[in-house]
Amino acid sequence: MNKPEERLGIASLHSLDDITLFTDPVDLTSYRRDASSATPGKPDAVVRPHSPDAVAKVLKQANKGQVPVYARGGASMYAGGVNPQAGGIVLDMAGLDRILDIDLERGIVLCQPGVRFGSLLKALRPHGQTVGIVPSTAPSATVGGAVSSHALGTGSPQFQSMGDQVAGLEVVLANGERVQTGSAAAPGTGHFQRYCIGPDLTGLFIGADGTLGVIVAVALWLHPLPAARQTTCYGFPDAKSIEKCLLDIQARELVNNIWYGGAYEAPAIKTRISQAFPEKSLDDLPSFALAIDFRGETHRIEEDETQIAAIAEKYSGRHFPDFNEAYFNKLRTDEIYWYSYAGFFALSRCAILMSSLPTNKLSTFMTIIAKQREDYPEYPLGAAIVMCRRGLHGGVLSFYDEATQWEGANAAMKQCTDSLVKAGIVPYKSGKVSAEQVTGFSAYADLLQRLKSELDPNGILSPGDLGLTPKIPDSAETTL
Amino acid sequence: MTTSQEHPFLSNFLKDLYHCSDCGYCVEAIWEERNIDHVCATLQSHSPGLAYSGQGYISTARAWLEGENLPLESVAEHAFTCTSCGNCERICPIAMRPMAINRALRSELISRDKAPDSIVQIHENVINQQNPAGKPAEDRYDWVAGQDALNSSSAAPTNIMYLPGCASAYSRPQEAQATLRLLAASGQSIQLLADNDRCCGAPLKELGFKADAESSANQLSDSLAQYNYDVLLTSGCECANSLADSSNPTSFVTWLSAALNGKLLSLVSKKTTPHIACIESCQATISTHTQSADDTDNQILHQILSQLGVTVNGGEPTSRYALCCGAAGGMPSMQPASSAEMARARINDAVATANSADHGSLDALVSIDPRCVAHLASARADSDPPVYGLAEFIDTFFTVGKGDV
Repeated sequence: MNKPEERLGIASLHSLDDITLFTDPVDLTSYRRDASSATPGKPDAVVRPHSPDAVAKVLKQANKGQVPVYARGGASMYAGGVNPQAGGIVLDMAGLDRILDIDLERGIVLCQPGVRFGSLLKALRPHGQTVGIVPSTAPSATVGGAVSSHALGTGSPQFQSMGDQVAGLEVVLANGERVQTGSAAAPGTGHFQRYCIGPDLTGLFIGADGTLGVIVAVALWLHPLPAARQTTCYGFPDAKSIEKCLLDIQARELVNNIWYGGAYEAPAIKTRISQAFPEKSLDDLPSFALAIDFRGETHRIEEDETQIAAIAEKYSGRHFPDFNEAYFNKLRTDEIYWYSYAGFFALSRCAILMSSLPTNKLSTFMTIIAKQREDYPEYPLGAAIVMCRRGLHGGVLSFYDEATQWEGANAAMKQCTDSLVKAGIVPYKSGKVSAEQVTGFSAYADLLQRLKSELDPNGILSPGDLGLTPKIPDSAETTL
Repeated sequence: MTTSQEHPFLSNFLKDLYHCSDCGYCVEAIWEERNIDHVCATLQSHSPGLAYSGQGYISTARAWLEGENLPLESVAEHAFTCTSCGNCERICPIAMRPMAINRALRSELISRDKAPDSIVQIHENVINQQNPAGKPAEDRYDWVAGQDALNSSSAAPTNIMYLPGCASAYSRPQEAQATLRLLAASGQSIQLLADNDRCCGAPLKELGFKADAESSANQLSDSLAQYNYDVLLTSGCECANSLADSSNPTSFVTWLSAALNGKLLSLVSKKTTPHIACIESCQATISTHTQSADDTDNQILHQILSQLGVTVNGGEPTSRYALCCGAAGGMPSMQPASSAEMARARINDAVATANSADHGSLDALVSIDPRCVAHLASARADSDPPVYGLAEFIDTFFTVGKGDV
């Protein structure tokens, strides 16, 4: 019983054609973590299934032997969800990488979870189509990983969030059962509607970090490729002004032709302007910039841009073409997946805390960031504000050296998370980095735990994520 | 963490090991606008195990450096299998150096006598016979026999020292011979090192034999220093990389571009519009990075072909993210089957794209590195188009003359 696969009771998987099994210690070193600062884990084995049936076989075996299973996609997430904290098996979903159907009439693309966004966009382009939310690490990020961890990305002003773009799923449960959600729950029907049968079971698996089931197929809504694009920037004197401007834009729903909207602070503005225009004075630069990437029909972009410029002016915002030229236009075009990548400018690893906030808390968010900078000057923080259809995503980026600053960076980010939660700003991606906060939302956490206990009674799926414990609490046994 | 005495090579890369973001671009990336369609040929054709990727080498190096008791035979199998194509470095958004880290891993293993036998054999071949294949050193210039091109005029405006490199000299002599004919046609004076030629050390550098690689490069540079010449011309991309610091070499493709633009050569196509596919060489892009805008030899190749009216299948070059054909790094000696599969994959991709385009059948597959040409030719099926180096292609499809086209 020295071999890991024998210890784990999965030796029989060796004989299956549609599975690749890795147990060599050198192979395993690459499956310990994602891009987050969460503590890595050490898997005992990596299983790469090539079919949904193979996923079901692995889960059945693991469930029988009560072996932890962590599903993993591109692992470019900042939440630690795939880190195999409890050891066991890492299920490398990158082997399930086929686009199953592009149904233009239904407006649905059905794909396996290991499909990279880069592949998906390439396949959709000839059809004049795209998907609503595209992560900033699209070349390497997988669809399944993005759905499972509720990824952020371009498209949120129009389409709000990754979860809102999912029309249905196919999931393998801990006992190996396969289930389809949305309209596809009706045999032979396929995906075309998410909310047609009873409650939304699709949502149960979105952002669940693989704790309730393993996603083996994702149906996403299709959207036409925009005909035109244009980037525009506005400068504002303070956070309150930009906050009011964003509220006004969202209230009037002037977001239908905005593919991306971001707010930038003074340090970022100064750096980009001084790099691009070294001869220019930095004295009169605005404190904040609102940068918008319009995409849609040309005349609609022009109409919306005119209205938004008027709204910006109402709140002391002025066109800021230098920032557009120096940075934003390039960011949104041919360099998008370099520049959008969090560590690009600092050439460094970073810890990212993603949060979700109502737009009217933007200035509160910035106040917390300012306090955090005072308290932890050794961990330089960047703030990333991303516009949604309603509300905002607020990212806190901390660049650090893992050799010397890992613990300190994590402590600083923990304090920041606590401060944000106290102010009514919630963690957006949980995984392991915000697991403690999730368990603090007691009624919600209790319900989540009961669902977990019902769907995964042996607690094999992603133990440690979302603060879920593997054991069945007494209350859950009696209530459900 | 272990000390720098214990890991003298890896400890030079602490910044990379502790700043890597785990974004996964060095594992796999598809980015249509940049013609990036996969990153790691090893993951595509040999094993999907991430330990063979850039990220994998960083993870392995860090674990070893932090004192984990990894089986070194397995570390060696992973580290030496890598093709060293460098795509993982070029695509890294934050300028980390996974290929260099892998090279350091190899050096650490070599210093502990843990290099696999097939790798040790390459080292011995270079040391003893001055070429990685171990062919007799005295046969290095057999390809020159019967070539008239060397009878050049001392009044020529430019004196070129031509260094064919091991791959041209031994495995693809047709490319060296065609190069010589083109150089002669351009009216240049040509010199060869002949008995003083030797391996530039590139194979040793690639495999982690750092000191011997530097020694080989220095010895070749010393030999070159004995001659007077205006241009040092190399056929091998890896030779150009190896000698870049000491001898300022010019690649054949760069010379050809200058010769055509300077109207030193006239080329008239023998066929109306040759239709070819380029199989780009990863070694031609080795010195570029994501954040660099430099043109590579692969891009210059496409400019030349466009200038010559050649129809190149597939349109824009993959340029800086070419997938290895399996000829590079430790792949051919460590994993010959996977190495051959990589070559087949490159040929199949080229032929499939040609079939999907409306240009008729392919006349040739062209690559600029003789090592790639030799390897691709060895994997070619009878039904595939012929494989040529650039000089061979021009020699075959064009009538070559001096002066204006």
